[in-house]
Amino acid sequence: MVFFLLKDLLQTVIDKRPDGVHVEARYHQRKKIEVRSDKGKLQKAIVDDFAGIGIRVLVDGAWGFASTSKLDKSTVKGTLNDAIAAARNLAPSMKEKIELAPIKPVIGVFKSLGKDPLANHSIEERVKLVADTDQKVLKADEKIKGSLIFLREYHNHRIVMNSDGSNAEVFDSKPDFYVQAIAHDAGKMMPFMVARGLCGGWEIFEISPPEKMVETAVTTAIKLLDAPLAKGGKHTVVMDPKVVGIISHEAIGHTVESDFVMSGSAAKGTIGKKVASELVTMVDTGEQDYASGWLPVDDAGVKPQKTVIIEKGIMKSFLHSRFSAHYFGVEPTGNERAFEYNHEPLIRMRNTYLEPGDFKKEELFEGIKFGYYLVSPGGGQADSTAEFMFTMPETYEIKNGEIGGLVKNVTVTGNAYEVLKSVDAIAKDWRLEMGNGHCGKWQPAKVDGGGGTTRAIALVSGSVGGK
Amino acid sequence: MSDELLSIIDSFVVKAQKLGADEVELYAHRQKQKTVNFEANNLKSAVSTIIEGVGIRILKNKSLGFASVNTFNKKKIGVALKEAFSIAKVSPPEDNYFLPQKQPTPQVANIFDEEISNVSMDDVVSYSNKLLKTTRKIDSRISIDSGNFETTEDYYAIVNSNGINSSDKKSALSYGLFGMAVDGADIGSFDYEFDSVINVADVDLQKTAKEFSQKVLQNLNAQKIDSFEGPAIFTPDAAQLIFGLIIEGAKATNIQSGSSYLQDKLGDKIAIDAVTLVDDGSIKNSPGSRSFDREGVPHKKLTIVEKGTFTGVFYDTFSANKENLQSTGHAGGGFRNIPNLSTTNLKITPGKKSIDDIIPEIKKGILIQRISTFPDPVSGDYSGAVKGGRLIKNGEITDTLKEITAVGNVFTNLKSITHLSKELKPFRGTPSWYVPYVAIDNIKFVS
Repeated sequence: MVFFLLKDLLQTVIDKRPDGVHVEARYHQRKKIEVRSDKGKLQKAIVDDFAGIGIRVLVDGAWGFASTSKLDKSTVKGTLNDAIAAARNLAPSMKEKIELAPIKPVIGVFKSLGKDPLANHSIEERVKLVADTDQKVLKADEKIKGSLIFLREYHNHRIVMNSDGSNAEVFDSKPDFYVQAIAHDAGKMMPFMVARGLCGGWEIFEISPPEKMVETAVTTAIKLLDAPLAKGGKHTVVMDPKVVGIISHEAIGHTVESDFVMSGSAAKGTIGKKVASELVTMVDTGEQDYASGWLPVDDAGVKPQKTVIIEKGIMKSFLHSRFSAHYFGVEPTGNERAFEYNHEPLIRMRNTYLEPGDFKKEELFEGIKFGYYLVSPGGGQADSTAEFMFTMPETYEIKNGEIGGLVKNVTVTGNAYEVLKSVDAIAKDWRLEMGNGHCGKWQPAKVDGGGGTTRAIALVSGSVGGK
Repeated sequence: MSDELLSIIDSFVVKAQKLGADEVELYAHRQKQKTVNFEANNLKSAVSTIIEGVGIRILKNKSLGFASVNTFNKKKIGVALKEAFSIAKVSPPEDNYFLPQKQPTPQVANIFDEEISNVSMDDVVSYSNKLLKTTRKIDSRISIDSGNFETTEDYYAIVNSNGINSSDKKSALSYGLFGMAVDGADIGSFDYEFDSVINVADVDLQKTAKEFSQKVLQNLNAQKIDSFEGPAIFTPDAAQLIFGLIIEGAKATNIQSGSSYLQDKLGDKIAIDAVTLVDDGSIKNSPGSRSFDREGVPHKKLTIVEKGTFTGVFYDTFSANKENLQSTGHAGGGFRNIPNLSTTNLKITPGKKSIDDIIPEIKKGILIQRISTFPDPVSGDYSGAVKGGRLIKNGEITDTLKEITAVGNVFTNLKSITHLSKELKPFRGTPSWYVPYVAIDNIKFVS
């Protein structure tokens, strides 16, 4: 009943628009639940309800945007007028008028709440799960002196309408779960965090059982205490799908966001050119409804395409908004996303990955005399030049084709296009597995990424000073 | 407006007590913004937003419940209150859970400019135009990927069952640029420059345009260099990495959970004598200031490091209760979450020498403009990509460098600082930082 009223409200906005004004009207309710425990103490259990309507209009070649959390007809009409007034203020100063590529309207109801919807579980269950997991970390080993367990869930209800006839409603939930162990020994301290995030429900704890996460966090943190530093230099690296995902997203993905291309990123002028090894096919898509970047309709009311960015090493497509698609004379790819109702949509990625190859995973290690197996990434950043740096808290030596011991303080750097040119094998073991956390670009976004295990050459630095 | 917020939340204190709360706190915030965004060297959009909402903390039998809602609709605040109760019911009790007591809360001077309400969207458009044009006029190779100009009016109110009942307001004009320089096939590393002021009269677009241009232009024509070990000068932008780690380590919550390098180090020497760090949220006319923190506790001055010795820990009420201490007034955050620890106006005491006199002392080293790294907050180890690094040879800046990594340990670096410059760069916003150039010996540069 309430949902019909919301649709009516948005429809009013579309119907009341003045002639010649393009309108996008969105309702977004985000219910956020967070539970966190540090070293045996519950730090927080919270529920945040954040809902409202965001209205974007295009008037005389300028965007205007306004939003409100007051969901009555007169306030919403006032918000439409505010957006129009803002656009009119801006229009005379627009050097180049914004025009939009045409779209086919998206109509329908889309749901991804998982096998076991989060709504079936109580706050009590969540508090208990987090507290129990914390105890398991603390009791696992006497060297474990600190811990952090964090559960965050987004419950989204979105309605997206526009004056081109899109009328779509989306229900989804995106849980993230983090387990960190901090090991101490002889004045040394080493943290290690394991995280998982996806689109779906309580089955996240079946896919990634907390006990297993505890075991990995605890054993890795303890092993890191005595792990040697990596040998700096150019090395053959075998990258886990999580690492393939983050390099695809951070180092290539951002350079092909067309707003960044228009400003002159490293991807400018590369369409049709060879930018990677012919084994590399890179995709950005909103299709997988179990992954954090699932997107059945973008926040401009466009159907997300499966966008092949790089096909067999050749640059094929950038990621587009309706405006950039018009500018480049191509079809919109459905990459305009807004984090919450009060955010204006921006060009963002969804699920970004390398297509799988023909190799068996173990074949990738064969013949490597010395190299590194990069298993899980920490923080990372990439530049306009496609130069990137990622910390790799879980990295193993590869010696004579065998996986060896853990090394610590590893950072991998290089130019992403050069690294992709050096790819000589991709395994069949394709999966998306970097759905926890957020991508940041003026506002956060939930994304995912992955690929098959991939072999390439990269610069590893590790000979760190300090303790 | 702030008093209006007080009257909305005030009635819920008694309601919560009637429902059985031992203690209750309601925090209300209303934020009004006018923004113009830029994209790809052009204006992009004009945005007018109002965000308002209430965060509720209740304590029942020493258990904490929190819920928030983005409306002042009394029915919905009532729903959130019940939600907070249902969370408290299932949360384990903690002895240190009790809310702050009422104490004198003087109004911090000059953090709201009445003129702000006279700044129209037309004015925001013309400020934006000016910022874009001024920057592009400096050099046609500059490419502005994105940026904005924004006016903000913040109104806050807080009440709790111990008698805290305060309101405050703040204004800000904030503006920034993000982009790079492009010269044919040569694409420079990106950089950014932001600023924020309280008073309309203090907007200085020229300064931001100039500093942004300087940063991105110097990144062109970058050269590779062989690995070496030597001194580095961290610009104020890059030096935030070093002081940021001290701040993380000095948060009571990190110390109490066993994830701080500074655990058990209060009173220990952690840096050279010249290093002094002070945080003060009660400075007038600084964007990091407010009359009270997220729990209604007045801000006060805290010396975190004095002459190289670790002297001050950041506390909010719960973390202070745990050690039988008083909150230092450092509860931060908004209405959508429970308070967290944060700085207000952090000032690093400047040194005596000018940066222009420090550079000539270096035979071979690197001036690090920006460093892309995620240092381990516990061990202090870092290995970061140097961005806009500039080679210093025989006391003079020569080439801009690319593809070079700086490797070190923040806590070791603090003891091998050779100079802090007398120039302090303000990074104004919420929070604000005032940071000098920092020269450090023995950094490994790996290419």
